[in-house]
Formats: sequence, C-alpha cells, structure tokens
Amino acid sequence: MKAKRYGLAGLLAVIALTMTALTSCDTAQEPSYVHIAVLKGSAYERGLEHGRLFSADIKSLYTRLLTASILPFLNREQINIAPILNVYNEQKYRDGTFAYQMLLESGRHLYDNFMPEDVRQEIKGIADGSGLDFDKVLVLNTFVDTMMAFRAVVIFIKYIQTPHVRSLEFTGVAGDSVDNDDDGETDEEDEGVMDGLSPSLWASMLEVPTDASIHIVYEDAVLGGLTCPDPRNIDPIGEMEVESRCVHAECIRPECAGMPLLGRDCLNEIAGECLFPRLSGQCFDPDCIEMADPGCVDMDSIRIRVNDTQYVASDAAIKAKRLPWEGDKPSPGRAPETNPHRLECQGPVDVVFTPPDGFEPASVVSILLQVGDMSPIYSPAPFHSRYMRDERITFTTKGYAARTGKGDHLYDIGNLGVDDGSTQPPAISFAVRGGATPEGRTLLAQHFALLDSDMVHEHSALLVHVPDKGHPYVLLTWTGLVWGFSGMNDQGLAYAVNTSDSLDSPLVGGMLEDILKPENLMALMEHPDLVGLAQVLKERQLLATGLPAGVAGHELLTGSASVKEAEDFLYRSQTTFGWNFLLADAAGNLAAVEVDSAVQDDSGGPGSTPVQDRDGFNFYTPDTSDPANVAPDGRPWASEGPDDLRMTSFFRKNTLDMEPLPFMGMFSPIPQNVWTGMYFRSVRAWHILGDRIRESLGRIDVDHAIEILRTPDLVDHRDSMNAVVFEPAARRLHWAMGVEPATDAEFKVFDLGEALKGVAQ
Amino acid sequence: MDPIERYEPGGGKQGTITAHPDAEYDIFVARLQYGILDNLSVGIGFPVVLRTFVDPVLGWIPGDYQPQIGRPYSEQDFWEWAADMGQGRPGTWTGNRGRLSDIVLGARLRWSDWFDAFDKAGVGASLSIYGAIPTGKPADPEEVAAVGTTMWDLSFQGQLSIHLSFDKTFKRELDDRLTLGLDVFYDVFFEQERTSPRGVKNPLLLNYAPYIGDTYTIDPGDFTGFSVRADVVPYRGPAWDTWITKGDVVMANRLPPIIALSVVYTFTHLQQSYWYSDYEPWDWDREKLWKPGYKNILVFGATFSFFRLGAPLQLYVTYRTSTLIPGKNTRAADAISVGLRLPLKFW
Repeated sequence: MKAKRYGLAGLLAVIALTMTALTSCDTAQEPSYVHIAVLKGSAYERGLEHGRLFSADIKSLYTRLLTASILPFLNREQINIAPILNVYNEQKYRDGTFAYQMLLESGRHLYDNFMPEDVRQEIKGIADGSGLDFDKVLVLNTFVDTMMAFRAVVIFIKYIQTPHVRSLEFTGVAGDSVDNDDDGETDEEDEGVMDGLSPSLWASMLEVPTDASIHIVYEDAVLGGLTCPDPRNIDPIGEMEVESRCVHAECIRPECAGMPLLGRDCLNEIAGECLFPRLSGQCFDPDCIEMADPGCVDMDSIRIRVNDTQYVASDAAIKAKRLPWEGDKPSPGRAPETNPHRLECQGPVDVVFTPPDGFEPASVVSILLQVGDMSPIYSPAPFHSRYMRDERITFTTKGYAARTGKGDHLYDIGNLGVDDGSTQPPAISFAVRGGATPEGRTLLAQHFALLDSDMVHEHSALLVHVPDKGHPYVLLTWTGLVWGFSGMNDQGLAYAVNTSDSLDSPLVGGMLEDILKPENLMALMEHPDLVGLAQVLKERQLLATGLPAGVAGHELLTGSASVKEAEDFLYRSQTTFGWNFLLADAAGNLAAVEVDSAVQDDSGGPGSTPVQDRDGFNFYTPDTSDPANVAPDGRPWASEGPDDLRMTSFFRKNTLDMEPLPFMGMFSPIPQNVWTGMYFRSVRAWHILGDRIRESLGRIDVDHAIEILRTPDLVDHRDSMNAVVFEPAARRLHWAMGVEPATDAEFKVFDLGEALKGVAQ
Repeated sequence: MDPIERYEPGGGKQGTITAHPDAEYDIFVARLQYGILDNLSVGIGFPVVLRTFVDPVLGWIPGDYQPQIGRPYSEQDFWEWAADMGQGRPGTWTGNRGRLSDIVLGARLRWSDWFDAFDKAGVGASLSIYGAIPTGKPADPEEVAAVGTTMWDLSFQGQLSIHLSFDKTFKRELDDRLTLGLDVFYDVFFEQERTSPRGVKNPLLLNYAPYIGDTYTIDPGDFTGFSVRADVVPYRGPAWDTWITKGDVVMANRLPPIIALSVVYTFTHLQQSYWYSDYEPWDWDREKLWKPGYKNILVFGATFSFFRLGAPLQLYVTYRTSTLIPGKNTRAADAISVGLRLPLKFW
C-alpha cells in the first residue's frame, strides 16, 4: 500500500516538474525609446544611415504625430483660414488635405529657397534610407516652423473675435497717498486706471487697499462675417449650410426654417473665386447679419479668479451690467437704431468686482480674468463660445512693502500667478559659468517642451554627426529629423532654442504686404470687416520663408566655434518665426538671442551691418557693463548675477516683436504678450527659474542644474520632450529623454570627445 | 484595456478615455465522440459562433481646463472634437453571425486499463490530446471593438492541448456516489500572422500599418494548469428494464445516475504573449497587456441522464466563472452552457 502511495506521489511529482519546466516565466521588456547613433560621411550618407537605422521609428513618428494628430488638428482650422485666405477654398485643399498641402507647399518653399545643400541632401538620405516618401520626410522636417507661424495666425484671427478688456480700474487707490501705479505721481486722477490690459512681466499696481474694488469694462467687436459654417458642408459653387443653432431663431424667417441659411456668390464656376459666404437674403433678416458673430459679451461667462478662489457671474462679488450700445451714431437722414440685438447685447459690459472679505492684506494678489462672447462656434468642435485668453494681473495690497521690505516698484514683484494645477510651464533654458558654479565650469541646460502628444518622446534620439565638412556635433533630436532644439559641437559650442510665439513671421508678413498696397488699403477702409479682409487676401498663401530654427542650430554647429561666431551666424540669417536661442561655449561665453522674421524691418535685410540689435534680432549677455545688456529698470535682462542667463518662451528684450499699426484698426498686428497663451505660462516659469538660480548661485554644478530642471513648477508634464545639461569645455552632456516628462528619466552622460575618438579609430 | 490619455496638440490634457469592454459570445457546439476501443475514443467538435456582441463601455475622466472653450473637455466635447478630426466614437459591435470557430479534434486513451493496480485502487488515468484546425477568423483589424472566433480570441484552450487525468472512485466506501478527479494540462498556441489596420474606419485610433508593416505576428503565451474535480451523485434513480439494456435490470443499474452534480476548480497559468512587427514599441504596447498571469476557473455542473428510464439522452448545464476568484492579467469570462448528449451504438 505504501509503495502504491509513493508511486502515485512520484508520478504527480514528475508531472509537476514537467509542467514547471514547460511553463515559461519570461516577461516582455519595455524597449528603450532613446535611439543613439554615430553618423559619418557626406550629408546624404548620414541621412541614409539615419533612415536605415530608424526606418520604423521615422514612419511611426510621421504617422502618429502628423497623420493622426497634427494634420487632422490643423485641418479643423481651415474654417478659420479659408474664409479669409480664399486660396484655401480650392479643390486641392479639400477632403481633409488642407493641412498636408499647406505644410508641404511651405516645406517645399523652404527647401527650394532657404535650406543649405547639406541639409537638403541629409533629408533626401533619410527618405531613401527609411523608405518614407520624400515629401513626408520634408514635411516632418519643416512642419514645426510652418505650424508655429500658422498657429499664430489662427490664434490672432480668433483673438480679434473674442471679447477684450477695454479698461480696468482699481477703485479706492486715488486717495491713499501711495504711488500705486509707480509712475512717480501720487493720487493723480487716473492713479488706478489701466487702459485696456498691458500684459506685464511685473505687477500692475502696488499697495492696493484691501477694501478696493476692481472695475472692468469688457467689449466684443462686431466683425460681421460668419463664424458657424462648416467647410465639410461647402459645395464648391453651391450652397453652404449652417446649423440653425448658430443663428438666433428670430432672425430666420419662418418659411425658411430647416433650410440652408447661407449662400456663396460665385462669379464663375471656379470654386476658389467664389466670394466669402454670405447670409441668404431670402431667409435671413438682413438686420440680423451680425447674429453669426453678434459682438456681444456673454455676461454669464464672466469669471474672476483671485489667487486660488474662483468667482463666477452669479456670485455676489461680481456685479455686471450691460452699458448702452455705442455703435452707429444717429446721423441726419438715418433712423435711430432699432435692432433689438444691437441695443440689447452689443454694448460693453461693466463689471465691478469686490471680494466678499476684501483682498488679503500685505500680500501679493494674482487675478485671472475670463470671459466669453455670444457667438457660438461648432466647427472646430466642440461647440463653444469664443473665450478671450485668460488675462492675469498681479498687485500688492496695503502693507506688503512694510512687511517684506520690498515691493516699492512694480518690477520688484513678478506677475507669476499661482499654481492652479493646469498651467504648464513651457520650454526653459539657462546657462551658468564662473562664480555661479562651484568650479567655474560653464553649463547650458534646457528642458524642452512643446508638443509631445504622449508619443513624441518615444522617438527620442541622440545623434552624433561627423560630416565631411564642418565641425562634428551631437544633437538631441527625434528620429527622422535633421535638426534638434539643442546640440553641441566638437569646439564646445552649445545651443538650446525655445519657441517664442510671434506674429512677426513670413506668413503674417505676406499678408501685411498685401494689405499695405494702397488699393487694398482703400478697399479695406470701405469694408473694415472680415469680408473686406478676405477680398484683400484672396490670393495669399501661407508660406514660411527663412531658415527653420532647428536647421539654423544645425548650421550653427557645423560652422561656428564660439558664441560670437554663432551670434554672427544668427544675425545674418533670416528666421521663420520667433525663437529664443541660448548659447554657451567652451571659453565661458554666454549669450541670449531673440529672433523673429523681421517682417517690419526696412533696413535692407538681415545682417547687413555688424552684429547689433535690430528688428528681429535682439541679443544680451549677463555683462551689465554694456548698456545693451541692461533693461530699462536698470537690471540685466535675464540674469540674477554676472554669470547666469535664462530664457523661457517669451521675448524679454524683443518686446515689440510686432509693432501695432493703428491705421489697420482691429486687424493691426500686435506684440507677442498681447495675444499668445504662452505668455503668462512663460512669465511664470521665467520668474520661478530666476528664483531657483538666485538661491543657488555659486553652487550650480551638473547635479544642481538637473535639480533645477526638475523643479516641479518648471516641469511640463504634458508636452515635455527632452532635457539636457551641456558641459561645453568637457564636450560632455547629460541627457534625459524617452519618458514623459523627460526630467523623470535618469540623466545619462554622453562624452562627445570620446565618441569622436572612437570614430577616428 | 489601458486607459488612453488624450492630449490636444500643444494644448494640454483633454482627459482620459477609460474602457471596460464587455463581450458576449453565443456559441453552438456540435461534438461527435466515437469509441474505437473500450479505452480509446476520438472526437471532433464544431464550434459555431452564433453572434458576438461587444460593448467597449467607454468612460471619460476630464483633463485640464481649456481656456479656449472656457471649460475642461466633457466626454461629449471630446468626441465632438475627435469627430472633427475624423474619428468617430467607437460604438458597440455585433458580428460573427454563424461564423465557424476553430474545429477541434481529440483523442482520449484510458491507459490505466493496462495496469491492474489502478483498477484495484479505484483509480482511472487517461491521456487526452486535442488539436485545433484553424478554421476560425480573427477580428476585423479595422474595428476597435471587434473580436474574432479563433481559439486565441476565445481564450478557452490552446491549439494543441495535452491533458493527463486521474480519477478516483469510491465504489465500496460510498456506493460510487463520489468521484474525485485531477487533470494536468499544457495548452500550446502557435504563432499567428495578422493583418495590420490601416485606419480605414478609425483613422486616428487604428492607423498602424504605415509603421508596423502590413502584417504582424502574435506568439500567444501557452497555458499550463491543473484541475481538481468532484462528481457527486445525489440521486441515482430507478433502473428500468428497457430496450436499452434489453430488459436487463442489473445492466440498467450500471447506467449513469439520473442526477449528477459536479464542481471543478481549474488553475491556469498564462505565459507572456509576444507581438512581432516592424516597430518594437508598438509590440510592447500590446505585450504589456498580456503579461504572464493566471486565472482561477470554477465550473458548476449538473447532468440529467435518462438512460435508466429507457431514453438515450443526457441533458447538462454548466456555469463556468473566472470572475468569482480573481485572476491576474487575464480577461475574466463567465459562461453558461446548456447541452444535450445522444449516444448511439453502431455495433
């Protein structure tokens, strides 16, 4: 019996062992998302090798970033662009091809006219090596510059259609015996008044009484035109339909309910020559023409956020009323205005905000203003009203200067707002040298953030290029690209470039060129609305011109050995958009260069004189002995001491990147700080980065620089793309990428000198 | 499914799509078993999927405040946005109507008959082998929520399955009213080539072919495990002298009881499944959802047999659940089976 039991037990043991042996415990391992390669030879050979090595990654980046994200996203903006730039109503831009065609045409324009031959050859090599169509590789390498400029145009068009702050006044400051607006005068009549908003790097008011109110007047322009039509409904020469929810019911004649409300007048059968869509006269009460964009502030949408407390229109703290309509003045022979909508909703909205318990005494207060209008948009979806950019102002309350010993001037207090959980910092960069560091080593650090879409970081690459001609260099980049937003060459020259939104781009420049033609100016004065603008711009295409920023970095590394040479190169280059270059070299030189496309420059083109500030080119260093490096407040532009420099994604010195042209009325170009949503994010990051550098001066080595990059308030968790600290003198860099955010990754060392020795052997 | 975090290009987090898909299969299985010898039988099974219904059960966790619309994206906002981009909201899916699954061939050898010792101990032992003919169809690659009809989709057993089973009866001690069983098995899945989706129906969610290649290969993880089983006879019932036993009551008494209940517990270890395409990170995105794991399956069954009453008929009903005892890295499924057995004698 015992033997039987042992036999059975033995049999089971054999079975168990067999099963265990057969059962694999292998687990799949996450692949590395960082691609490292050394590419040697001619530009074409390097591109070819790049393409061969990372073919699938290049195709993945194109498909997931362009095909599945950027292109459909930009396609949606055709609705905003095509009514004004009628070229984009043509057949070849339809059926979802608008964005691709627009980017490709712009890319070809850059390729044919501005790209150096070695860059062209490298792009060809990548296409041949990867098997991805050349056109797609070209779009992949040029879309950033075109897209940024395009996006700026779209945001500007949206900007002019949203409500604005006409005026803002702090009540109760006129008799407090304090120079609240820091203008050298005390208690003058307009002490608390801000005409409109001038978005500022600093505080807007000082020592405001805690029981003060803020009096804001919002207004919304009447642009005419149509905001609702969906391009998907456009018949080339037929009717355009619009949903009835876009139009007030009382404006539609009963017999037309459910019928198309819009029509396009066409001079011939060429779709592109059809006029801007107009409301159908038979179905629409002509007096209601503004209903599609009625120019009315939506009083229910008013929100005011004080530090981290949000107040909405229904709160007692907000008292809002609509002021009388101020449009057409009665004139002889003209009947008084009777249109109920104009009378009822087009007047400015007057808001008085009084916090229930007053403002916190002796403190810094940050206010965020939000409001929308009553012109609903259903395309691009989702259905929503037009909201103005969240505007932020900061001020101190009575007793702050006494309590803290600072805050005597507006520029003592940064307009950085509070951490509201949704404001993400943009790309940041800083450089230190000499006394800012423990051992005098120069460092250049950057955390680049722009557009990750939860996938770009999976295509990160560190590529060493050993070209036949020019300096070898290393780029932090992405598969399929010939450029990066940071890099360093064998001479120890390093750069990091951040975007800096600007309307000073060739896209806007081209439009200005058309508008400023005398005959067009006259036409625009006759029709100062979107319809008039569309007539003037009917043949204008959106084509980028100049050297794409990444390509500029690429060329800068192959052809320059020092900061001075790099400055000279940038000075003599035409750039595509607004960019902030931070430069450092092995000798410890640091420089910040803010560039735009200089479309308002009439000095004869870029770089026609020795390097100096000019339209579209502003540079500064920490050296305050040179007045060009000192801001109007007497302090360096972006340094906490003589050995540090920082940049985020706004212009610190090039503040009038686009000078307003008052005669253009609401269509006048405007400077960066007025319109871009990046401005307040950048300002906040700029102040926080300055604080971190100031408190670390003298101690900033590589580890400390990494620590600064990892400061939670400086880390964009959504669109982080890579992070790096360069040591130019040692030809070494410390990189982190391949995860989101990049700074969560371990910083790894890469020795360019050693890599190049390996290549030489 | 992993939650999908959605970002507006350069505009922050829109929100998170959650998905807790629910799939229902209605399957008809015709099985033929044939006893070649007393201890050797073979069989064939024709599983036909009558209908499959899949509900992706999508949810939404709002993301960042979006200044341009004055609110965070609601679920409706997001799908309106996606529709504008050309991607509709994946809905429920119904398909596989009357579609054949993999045909299963099997053979069972009760090898314990060759050893008297087993018989004396009241122990039976058998070896079974099942093989699947790949007649099932994989899911439509262009559908987000579709499922196929292959063994891999059904996740029921391997394409080649080997079972070693033992059972112990208690004839004398418990009047043959209890049988305990043990089964150990190894299920093999072979590599399968699949067609990559091109985004024909879901351009933003399923546009993989341009970078993973026109096809990809799945190497599903094999199953290993064991089952323990108890069969109880609560009611044996009368034994009539009918045509089945040619009037022999003694023989009728040896026929199956009228009611038999069973409970089976199965532990199945799942090995890692691997994907092979041109793009390794895409492979990983699937592999991380198919890591090694295990499932705990409980099956409760009842069989109603009418042989003793002169009717050559058995009805059975089983309830199989793998949600009652949670597993790991597995797609828990519950199933109810109702069946009919008709034995025939050829000579």
